[in-house]
Amino acid sequence: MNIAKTDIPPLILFLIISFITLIAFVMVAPLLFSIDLGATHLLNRLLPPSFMEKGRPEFFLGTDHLGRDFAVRLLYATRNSVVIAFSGMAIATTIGTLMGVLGGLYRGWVDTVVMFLVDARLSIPFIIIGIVCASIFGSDKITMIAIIGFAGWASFARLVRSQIIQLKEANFIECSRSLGASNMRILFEHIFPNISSPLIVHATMRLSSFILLESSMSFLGLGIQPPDISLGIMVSAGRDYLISSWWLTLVPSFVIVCIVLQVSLIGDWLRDKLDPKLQNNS
Amino acid sequence: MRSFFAVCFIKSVITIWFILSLVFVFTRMSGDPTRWILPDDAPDNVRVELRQSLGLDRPLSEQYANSFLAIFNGDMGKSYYYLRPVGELFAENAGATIKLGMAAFTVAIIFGVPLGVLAAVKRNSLIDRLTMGIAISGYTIPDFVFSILLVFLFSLKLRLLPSGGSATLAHFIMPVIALSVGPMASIARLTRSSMLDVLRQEYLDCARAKGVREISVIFKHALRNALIPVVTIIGLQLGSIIGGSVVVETVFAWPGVGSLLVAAAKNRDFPVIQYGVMLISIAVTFTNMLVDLSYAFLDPRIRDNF
Amino acid sequence: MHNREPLVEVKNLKKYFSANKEMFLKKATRVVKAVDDVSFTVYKGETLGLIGESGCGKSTLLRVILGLVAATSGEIYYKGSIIDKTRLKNFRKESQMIFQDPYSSLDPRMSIQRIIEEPLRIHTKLDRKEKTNLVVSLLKKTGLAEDDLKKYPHEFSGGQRQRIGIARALVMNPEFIVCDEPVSALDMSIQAQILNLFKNMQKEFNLTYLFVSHDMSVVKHVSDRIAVMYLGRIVELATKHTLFDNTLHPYSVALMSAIPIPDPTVKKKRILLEGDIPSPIDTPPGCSFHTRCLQALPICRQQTPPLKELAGNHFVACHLFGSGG
Repeated sequence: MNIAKTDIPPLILFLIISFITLIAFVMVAPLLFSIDLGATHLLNRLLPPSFMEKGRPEFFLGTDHLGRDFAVRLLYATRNSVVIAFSGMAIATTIGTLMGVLGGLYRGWVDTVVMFLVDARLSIPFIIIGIVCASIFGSDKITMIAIIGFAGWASFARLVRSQIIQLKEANFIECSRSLGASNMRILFEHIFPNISSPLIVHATMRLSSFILLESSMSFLGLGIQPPDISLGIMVSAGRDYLISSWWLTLVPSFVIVCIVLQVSLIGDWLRDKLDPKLQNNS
Repeated sequence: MRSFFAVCFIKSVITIWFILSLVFVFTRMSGDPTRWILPDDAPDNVRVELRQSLGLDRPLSEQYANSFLAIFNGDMGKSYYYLRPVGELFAENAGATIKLGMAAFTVAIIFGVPLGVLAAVKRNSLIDRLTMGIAISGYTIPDFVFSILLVFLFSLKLRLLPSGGSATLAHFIMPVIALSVGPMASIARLTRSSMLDVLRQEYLDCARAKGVREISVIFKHALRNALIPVVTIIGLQLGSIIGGSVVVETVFAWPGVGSLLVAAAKNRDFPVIQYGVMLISIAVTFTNMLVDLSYAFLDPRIRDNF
Repeated sequence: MHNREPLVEVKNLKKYFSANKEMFLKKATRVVKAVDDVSFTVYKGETLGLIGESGCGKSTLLRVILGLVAATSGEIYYKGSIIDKTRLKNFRKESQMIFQDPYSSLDPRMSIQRIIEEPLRIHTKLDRKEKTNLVVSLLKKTGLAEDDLKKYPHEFSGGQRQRIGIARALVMNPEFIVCDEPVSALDMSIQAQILNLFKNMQKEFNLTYLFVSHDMSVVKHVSDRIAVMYLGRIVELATKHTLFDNTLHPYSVALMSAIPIPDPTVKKKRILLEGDIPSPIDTPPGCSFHTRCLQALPICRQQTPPLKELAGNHFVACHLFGSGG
């Protein structure tokens, strides 16, 4: 792919770099700042950030209502949210691509089944599915990843399927067939490279909705459970102290919005960049 | 046209049946609900009694059939937690949610469509950037964050509005705003891009060349065609509003179906969950069906194919 | 002249499609007869031109011959033996197709090297170096450069892309090449270049062509023999000269009259066919051309004329020339 030759607008470049830095940093966090998420130190409750008055230097962003270091918790929370969203996305992409390929390539009753499942899934709002699953299967990290993976595949399947249906009729596919290429070869050498761009764009867009789902569910108390931590939990826990220690809620909220904004803007740029209409201009 | 309608209808029914069956299977698969209701050391006879009163000792096929018949006779069993008929619980809470939902829906359309049109007509102007800013915040800022921000600003800092409950009109304002922002952003965005597409078309230049005034060009010719995809997305906002109401009702302590469902999920209150899923899937599936039909109806190209 | 050794023989080939969707229990009753009982032979070393208007079934015929679409009935013979499932792969090694649209017949995501190499990857076990050498030699033969190996299709013009398609078709050293309107999508000036390339390649590789086009002047330029197709049937088949000097079938006559003659002093009687091409669904009984034929006889409405050989390898399907059955 000749992406190296293209120029990336400075804003997007900044977003990409900051996003990658953020991910790298939070993934590495446990090695740098170890913490016992369950421990409480009630003597240190609700200290403000170190740069505000009454703050203490050893607690960079202060402490929460149970005396725990807010900044470190923030790191772990971000890490959890990111890990869950990415893991869920990996599962959703795999299942979705598989279903889309089955439906698009084989058509007939297989396609009918696939489309039916996709439509059925998409007829219930994502968060409702999350709530129902949480009520049946409980709430923890693994369940969240499973919910995202097993409920988030539908839009991928739809995309892959429609791309394959279009591609199947393309002349160069017919060409390969006339050369004697097997279905598998056509699938891997021709179809996948051609659907990779829309798939990547879509995955980026969906990543933001997965992050939002996890935070919303954790906020409601149906996602990750304490002592495990997530950005949604932090927002929810800080609500009671909104008047005095507003940062407890607003900073995690800000982090959520930042991440989602980064991902969305990068996704928008990617989509415009990889738009085939702008490419085949000869 | 009739066969299209019949196919749509049958498909909706099968979809609803499938979803409800899936929920039924999963809830029954997850084990004995009395685990969550009674303490672990409860005596066996109490457990058996409870199972009987909740209808859990009947054969599975009977329970399955009943869960569908309930759509028609309204008897979905009793809530495991409140031990009251589920239908009653929903009837009590539905009104509040419907009020909130419809208000949010209306606000989203009233503000979303004109914003989108304005943004398209005055492309790259301040209004365009403002609209796109709102659109972006619509899908970047989660409902719960936006709600908390509203509470922070208007309740705590400015002390203008109450932060929770549903007694007065003042309690109504913030939840409606919070719930309407997401759909409003989607509607504005789509209206804008749809208008932009239409405004580029050549048949508008034809009208202009004929001497039609610009305002008329925009409203009579462009808008009508641009609105077709917008109508379908308006229909699809129902799902967004249902999803959003769960969070908004929780933040603002608005006593509606959303908070009911969240509580039920925490309490493993399966009858309430099942009933909620049933209502939601019926509502969304049939709305989608109406949207499909209206799309076929509005676009003469599709209409003529049948 | 060519040795009259048959390379590809088509016998009673039919391809019917169902025209309406099967809804629930209603079965498809309307049939599109895209290829309706076609028989002919392509001899080794020759170029058989196939001409007909859009929709007459020529593209379908090509796809059936190459096995991309299953025939409804009929047989195809290659080098004397019938092509069945076991022989199909071998047939595919030795026969290739060149497509009409240079813009969509190359995978936009593949480099030129990989595109041309593809038949080698499928059918041979050559190593990288051997493959590259072959590809480079073909690039040069088709008028491209070694530098083009790493480029992508969108960097080339239509004419160049068609050259790439030709290189790909030739890399396996095939015997039989089917060309589906290979120059129709190109500008006039490029058409001549590509047609000359076709002729040169034929000489160099000893190829046999089945060349399809709707443009009579193109077909006239490249073919040794020409078959005229109308609504799924061959109506006339003769050597080029015979066809032009002694056009028999009324449809062929009308086609000939449409060819522009570059001499302004020659007055040509242009035959304008009345009526529209009947739909290939529910074709009229009898001769498929009778609705537009100025010389239709009563029998033409009832009986389909068979393709009969008249003197000197000139085949016609018309009641005017046969004894009618």
